[in-house]
Amino acid sequence: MTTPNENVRDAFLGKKPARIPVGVCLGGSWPFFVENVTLRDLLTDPIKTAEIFYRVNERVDADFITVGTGATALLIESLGGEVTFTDNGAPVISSLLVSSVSDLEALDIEAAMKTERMAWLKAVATETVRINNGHRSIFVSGRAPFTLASQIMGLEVFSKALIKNPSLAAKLLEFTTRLSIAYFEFMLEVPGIDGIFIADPSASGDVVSTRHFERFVLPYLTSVVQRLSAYNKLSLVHICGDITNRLHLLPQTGMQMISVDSKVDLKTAKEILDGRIGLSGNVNPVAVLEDLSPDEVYQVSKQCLKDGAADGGFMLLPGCDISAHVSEANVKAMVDVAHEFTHEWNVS
Amino acid sequence: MSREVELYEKLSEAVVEMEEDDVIELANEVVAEGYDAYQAVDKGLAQGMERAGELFEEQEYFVPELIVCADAMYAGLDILKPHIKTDAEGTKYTVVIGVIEGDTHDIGKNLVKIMQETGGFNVIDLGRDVLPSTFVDEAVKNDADVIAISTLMTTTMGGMGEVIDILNERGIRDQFKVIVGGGPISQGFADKIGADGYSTNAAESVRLLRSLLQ
Repeated sequence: MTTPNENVRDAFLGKKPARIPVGVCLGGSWPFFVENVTLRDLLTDPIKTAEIFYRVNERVDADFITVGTGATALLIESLGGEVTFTDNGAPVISSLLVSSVSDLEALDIEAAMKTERMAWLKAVATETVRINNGHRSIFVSGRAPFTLASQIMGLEVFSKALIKNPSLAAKLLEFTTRLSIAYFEFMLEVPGIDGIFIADPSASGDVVSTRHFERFVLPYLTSVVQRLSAYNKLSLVHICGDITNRLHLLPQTGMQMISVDSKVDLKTAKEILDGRIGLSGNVNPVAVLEDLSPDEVYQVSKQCLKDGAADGGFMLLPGCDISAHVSEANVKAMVDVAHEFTHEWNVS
Repeated sequence: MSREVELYEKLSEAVVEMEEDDVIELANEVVAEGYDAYQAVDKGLAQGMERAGELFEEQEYFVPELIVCADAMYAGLDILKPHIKTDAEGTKYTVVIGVIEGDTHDIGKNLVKIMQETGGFNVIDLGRDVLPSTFVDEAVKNDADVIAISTLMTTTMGGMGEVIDILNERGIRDQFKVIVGGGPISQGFADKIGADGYSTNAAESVRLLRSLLQ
């Protein structure tokens, strides 16, 4: 009997795992919602945070668990940004840090890694790994350079810079590449972390053109992935929106698996990627996981598996973050079908 | 082609091509040569922005291109607006727009606002992280026709339904059309909360408003 961790590893390595692995949380605070606590309540207690996060993932039998989801704004806060904590979601960045190159020069990455918030994140990761004891797969969650740039400059101003001031955009991206690497290296100091989960929601296929993706997303994301490859960890990247027309560019980054939005057709994605990297996704977090019944979730998830899992190298995930309104029964239905699907697949 | 039409076409083209300096120069020429500022906005700037919106729908343009086009359009509008005769604008419908409580992502809302203003609507921007009750209060205060609610996050979508609940509780639901949009929103979600309409993008929201307000 293989462990969830071994199944995740097999999927990332392009193999057919004994049981198809499933993850539940891409970036959000769903485990906190179902346990009726907020991130703000937990910021003084990393042990309790890890216990809650792990308990919920264990209850729904998720194979893949990310640490740091719902808390990526804390890195921006550590750099000096203002963050507002809310009761119905992840904390939001309420002020922008950078509007010029000189603003950028004032930001201190090394100091950011020494804040209380970062220590909290590391302590949560440490405790999660301890509770897990190698059974499930624990990934450190963080942001890619393009999304970090939009977080510290604001997506609107940053978007303008891509066209009107590309040298400023490039300088900002060089900075956020260093920031992203520093964050992941800091978190990878925790022994027992299995992989890195790099989220790049702002690089969405619905937001930037392929031309801008190639110029402002891909090179910087590649730098992060390749630098972190020295740690010999599994690597997963999530990009929002319809990225079908740029999927072929992703294997060159060195990532092992891409997580796609529900807007991407899994069969098409599978054909384009052709086994060069793994694929994960993409149960619609709203139209399916939030709005349908457990039976319907089961059927839709099963179709995702039929489209994506047949040749291995696949992990079932929501197509994007899930909200507080998604029921635990629906999440469990998604997990169950993946774990059961393996039987049908082996028989066929 | 008359000089007047030529200027309007060039204005439109400069907006589409994101050439803000050219828009400023052309708008100044419209004013200096005494042509109709309203027509310059309508047939020049607005038409250019409409074309940019079409390119956005066709996935030729994306968010950065649309934002820079809008900057060019607003630069021209700043010059032309003081020269528009007030009776030339006709009756306008009023939209109150904002991003729901808990969400500070306002780029989508801003694009919708730009396209709706370009489409001839009077848009009152409530900003981001707006309480459901504030949408209702501001719609009443401004005698609005439409409440437009945006969110990018799945975690904050629930607040959109609260706006409609408040309208129902106060017995004023029929006074306003409520439209919703944003990354995770679908027609199914709009139907579920009882919204009057949903649009997938900024350009489509203008057509949605026109159909709802016919």
